[in-house]
Amino acid sequence: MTPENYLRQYAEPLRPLAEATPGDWRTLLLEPDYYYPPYMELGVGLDGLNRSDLLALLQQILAIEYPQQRLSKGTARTFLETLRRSVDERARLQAEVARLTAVLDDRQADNERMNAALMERQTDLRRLAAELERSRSEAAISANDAATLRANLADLQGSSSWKVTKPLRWFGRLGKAARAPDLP
Amino acid sequence: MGADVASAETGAAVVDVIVPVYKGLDETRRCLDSVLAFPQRTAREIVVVDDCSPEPALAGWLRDLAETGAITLLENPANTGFVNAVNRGMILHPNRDVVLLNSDTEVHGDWLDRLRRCAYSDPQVGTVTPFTNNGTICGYPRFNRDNPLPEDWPLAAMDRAFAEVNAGSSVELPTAVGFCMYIRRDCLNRVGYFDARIFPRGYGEENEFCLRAAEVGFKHLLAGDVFVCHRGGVSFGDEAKALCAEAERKILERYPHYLTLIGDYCNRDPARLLRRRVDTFRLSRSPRPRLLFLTHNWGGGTEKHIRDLAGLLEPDFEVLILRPSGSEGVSVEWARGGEEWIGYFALPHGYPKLLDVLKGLGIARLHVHHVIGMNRQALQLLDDLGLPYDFTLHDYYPVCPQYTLTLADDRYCGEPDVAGCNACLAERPALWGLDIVTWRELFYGLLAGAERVIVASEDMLARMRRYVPDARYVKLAHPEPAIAVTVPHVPPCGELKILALGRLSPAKGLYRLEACAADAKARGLPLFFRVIGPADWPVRQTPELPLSFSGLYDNAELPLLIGRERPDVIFFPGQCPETYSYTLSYALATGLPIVAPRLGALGERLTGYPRAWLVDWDLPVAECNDLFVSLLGRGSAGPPTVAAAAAHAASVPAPSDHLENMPLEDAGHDP
Repeated sequence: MTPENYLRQYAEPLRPLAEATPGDWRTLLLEPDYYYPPYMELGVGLDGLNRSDLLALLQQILAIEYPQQRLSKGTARTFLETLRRSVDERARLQAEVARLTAVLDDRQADNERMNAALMERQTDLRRLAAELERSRSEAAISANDAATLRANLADLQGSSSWKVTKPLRWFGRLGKAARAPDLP
Repeated sequence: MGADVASAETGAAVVDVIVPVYKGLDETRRCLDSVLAFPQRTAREIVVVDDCSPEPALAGWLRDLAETGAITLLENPANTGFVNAVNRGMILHPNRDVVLLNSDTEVHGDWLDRLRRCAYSDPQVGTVTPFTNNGTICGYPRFNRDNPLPEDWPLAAMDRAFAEVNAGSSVELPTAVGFCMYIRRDCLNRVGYFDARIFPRGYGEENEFCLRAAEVGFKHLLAGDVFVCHRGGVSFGDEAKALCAEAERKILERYPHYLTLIGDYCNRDPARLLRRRVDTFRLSRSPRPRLLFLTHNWGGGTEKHIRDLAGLLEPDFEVLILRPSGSEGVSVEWARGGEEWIGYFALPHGYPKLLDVLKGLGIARLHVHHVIGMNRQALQLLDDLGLPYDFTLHDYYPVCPQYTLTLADDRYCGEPDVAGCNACLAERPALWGLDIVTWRELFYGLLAGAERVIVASEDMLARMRRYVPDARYVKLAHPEPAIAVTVPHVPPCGELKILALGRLSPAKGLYRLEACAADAKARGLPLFFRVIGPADWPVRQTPELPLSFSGLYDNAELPLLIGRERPDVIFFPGQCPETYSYTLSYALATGLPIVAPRLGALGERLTGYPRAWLVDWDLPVAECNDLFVSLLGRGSAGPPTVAAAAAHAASVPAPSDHLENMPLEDAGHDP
């Protein structure tokens, strides 16, 4: 179905829909994590925090997970160090992913190139096969012609007229030899 | 001199707006007109560096403009290259901040004041770059893409939107982008100018400068509240790509960590929030009624249909698409071409927020396309939003969780009774752990409640009526523009090339095709099977069997790819009832003989096609190959166009009719 026809039929019941009235965009805003896919949420949340926000976050986590413990500066430092290491590790892994992606891209490009070459070869092969087939046919026809000519010659040489005129051909050859100049 | 005396009221230092010019009178005129059109609180002098433009009209216009005093014109007697031209401008007044502005940009409003405010928001700021439509990591609406300006959003409206929703916001960049770059003088004094020795012609010089600046502690900011329009590539045209690659190589020699830095930024994408705020603002301002599509995230024909439909609806509606995301969540995206807005909602705790957002957006109607992989809670939206909805059936999911109607061996099940279905489900449990009766009851309610249940073929309509007789069905074949496929004629070479199209799953005949190839090899038949598309599962291929796969392809390239393959026959080896088949549309456009099962929509769509050979879906592979060999004998590669085939059809009985009477088919059976 053409797109125009489809649209005409599809949109028929949609016609009564009223125009939207511009609303307050602020009410539609989401918190930052809603804009990142689930696998990115944690990293982004942490990246957006400064040191004091991070400490506050850690305090909250500890308050929930370990309500009996208080967060000392030393513990916070340890947590921050761990976090820093995790962030560094993530950066390293991301770099590795980027590198591997580049390698993959290269391989895919190679693959595409080789596919194109293969396709070209296949086309050549088909063309050559066709040419071979044609040459074979021509060879068969030539062989046929040769066989026919050989048969005609044999028929001719076996005929009575050929035998009757044999002396004439002998005298002919003799005459030609007599007229020919002597060879040194 | 072009210093804006009126704007010096604050006594602030003068900023030089440096515009290097080489080619493009129209672009340059638009750029300078926009700069001159808007007075700023920041005192400024517009310094244009004509780098020996080869366009006399442009050089003349600049001289005329300079005579009015609107700009300061520096003319290079010989072309010195972009970077030297910029450096000449920056050296002119060695105490002033500068803005480097490409001649193919346009600015709006108090752009310079906002840029300057951002530049002095922190003592460590070295450079500031605004958002733009064409500026890699500063790009909008789509990140890292060359975007056209969105329809209905000219520069003025766009810049106002950024200024309003992101007032005073910025994020740190790994490097500025040179189309429009505010550089503080203290940064220039500390770091020096651009390196014209290494980057004489442009591209990369600003990145290298920023890396030098970062080494001594300067920050580079993206101003969230300024948007500058950038056309891109005016002076360098087609050379731009090569220059970029060369620049990257040179930067990596000096700064091997450069790509990691950029890659990390792209992965984190901290400017996303700023872009999403503007998206939300723009979406909220659109007067078009909103439609929400529900679908899966499996791609394929369903996704193509949804994208096509969203594209058709674009002029009059805003389409949003809800689909599964992550293990339990859903995402909602704005489906307008060129847009990037997407929100992620973890269910169940994000459900109230999801509902709020959809209500806030003013969704007016829903359209369910598919719910496979969807958190069941998302179906609650149909009730909670209380809106009319359509339901398009892309497969038989409402009838059976095995949506292709196949058994564990990936062959058509023949649609057994409830006991048979439950036995099948016991082997392969359904999503949400439902038995077949509960499953069908659930979907019965969904289909019966739909204002329209759209199906793409009569075959599907007939099947569905057996399960849900009282739904309000509408038959609408999928929308497709005319497809042109040209297959060059190749003289017969003694081998038949059989082409299959699309991603091949077992239900789509992957193993059947493998079996055909194996039989062809075993019997030494002159057949070669080629697939444009990937295999869903590993199968034997060349050199073991006369079978090969092209791998993934772009739909837009399919006509070209088919032509390049120069096939003799197109084969649909599917083992399940198709509901439409986009690839069949391409096959029909070739005019080539098509061998397909008489099952599902394929048989229906091929009725009337003069070169269709309809066979039983479970015809033994040996007989299938015999059919191919007989086609080879008939010289089937003949006329490549539909028109020729149609003309031929007028004079001879249709092969499909003919084949249906052949004893060959008696070996198979219909479901």
